Amino acid sequence: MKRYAWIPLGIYLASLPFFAIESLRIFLLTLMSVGITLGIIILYLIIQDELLFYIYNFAAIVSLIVSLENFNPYSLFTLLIGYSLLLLLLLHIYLYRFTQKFGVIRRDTLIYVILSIPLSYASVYLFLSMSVGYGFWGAALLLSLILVLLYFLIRSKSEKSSNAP
Amino acid sequence: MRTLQYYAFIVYFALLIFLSFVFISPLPIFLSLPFLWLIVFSEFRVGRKIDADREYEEKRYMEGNVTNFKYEIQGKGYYIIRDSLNELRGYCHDRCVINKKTVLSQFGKISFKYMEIYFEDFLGMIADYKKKKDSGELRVYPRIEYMRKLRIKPRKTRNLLGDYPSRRKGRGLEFTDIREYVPGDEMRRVNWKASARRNELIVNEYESERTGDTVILLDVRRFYKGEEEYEKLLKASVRAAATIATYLSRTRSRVGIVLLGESVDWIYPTYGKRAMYLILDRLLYVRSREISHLSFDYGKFIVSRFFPPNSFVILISPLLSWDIDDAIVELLAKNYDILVISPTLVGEKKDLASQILRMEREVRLRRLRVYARVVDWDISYPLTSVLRVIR
Repeated sequence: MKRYAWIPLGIYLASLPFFAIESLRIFLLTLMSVGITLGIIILYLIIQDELLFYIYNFAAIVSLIVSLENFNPYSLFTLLIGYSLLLLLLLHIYLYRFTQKFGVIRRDTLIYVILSIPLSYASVYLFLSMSVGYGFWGAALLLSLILVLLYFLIRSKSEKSSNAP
Repeated sequence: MRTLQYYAFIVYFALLIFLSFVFISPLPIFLSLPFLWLIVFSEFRVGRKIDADREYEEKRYMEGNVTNFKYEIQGKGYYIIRDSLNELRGYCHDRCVINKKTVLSQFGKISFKYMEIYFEDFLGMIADYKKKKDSGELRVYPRIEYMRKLRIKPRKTRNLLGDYPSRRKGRGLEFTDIREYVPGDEMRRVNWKASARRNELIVNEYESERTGDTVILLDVRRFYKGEEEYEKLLKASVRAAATIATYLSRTRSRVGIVLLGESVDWIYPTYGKRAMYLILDRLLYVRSREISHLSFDYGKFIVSRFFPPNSFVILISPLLSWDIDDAIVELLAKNYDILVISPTLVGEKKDLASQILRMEREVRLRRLRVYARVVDWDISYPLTSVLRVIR
């Protein structure tokens, strides 16, 4: 299972240069950032430090931003590509981390990881592509959303304290 | 407690917002949203901290036995449970019962003092760690080879009745000779056939069976830096001592032990099962963690000071120290009967140091053979098969 966790990352890193093929500068930059990512991966495999695990994953995210630099960031198509690739990276992070640490990964965990992508897509779509993200109603919606989030954050904290032995 | 992943995702989120200013593009902000959602999910669905209990059958185990541990885990989330023997990893949804079979591969006493429980929620954002006080112990005795009869017997016996044939004649089972009847002889000893043939009363004579004191002198001092070699020799020596002690406890002879490891320790000769368990319990702790500087003279002193002369000393030693042969000569001079069982790793290593050590040992063996019974035991063979061919 731990071995399979590298497949999403492999697909992710291999597909990045294809999106940067239109511009030589961006293509080379992408190749360089992918190279850096691979370098940190090798370092991580030698040292096996968890911090390096998050560093190379962040380097992979930067590679994605570099490779999609020529694309229109407001286009939903760009977001679709970006989120699809990010999903692969998130799958790698979760599959690798959990199978290495606990030997298993629950379906719930994977479902929530996958669910974060359409929710992010919907959030961007809601606030940027539709008029709801602008003007008074946009600000009001954002504020109410922040309030709801704060409520849940506070509520979950009280739940945690109740679990104390 | 938050995990490193939680902080990493927060940092990702912050850095991606920063990158959007660097690249003058909203794309990094958009890409940061999944991380934010994952943090929010983890706040919504908090797991329940894990707690665990363990059950097992507390009895005497032998090296190589399989024991079943039953872990009852309560809580919701991913867990790592670690105690002195086992490590469990996985996910528990409310209540789980895990039966874990463990092969007890090494002899010794395992004390369960603490149980470490690590918990993480289903998204790996919230963690909890606790060190729970634990109790119980597991005694794993060294593997004992079954020995039907040990051919090697002490040359000198004590006055008490036992299992070893003595040079003295008296009450026993083994017929040795016939002689003329003298007043006072029991009538049941009269050999009627011989008496009819000779026309006078003839009685049978029997070999007297006496007991003997046996001292197992176990030398497990460490001379190797290599962990593997030492462990192999240690295991073999301890198994041999346990096998001999168990066998002798079945006979009517007294058995004691002197241990030379990190320090000197001894158990006075005792009879029966008590002796066996005393020795086996003591053998659980035998281990030398550092190179030993203990002289063999300590062992010699303990034997000659606390154990009666005429005792049968079974020395189990790899014969790697230079002072051992002189000490044996001295013990022989003090009227002890000595059998040397020397476990060895024949041809294990080809380097110069090992070759020199092997040659020295060979010389020592040759010298010892002149005045004591010596068993050169290649530990890849069972001890019983080696002892079977020796008289």
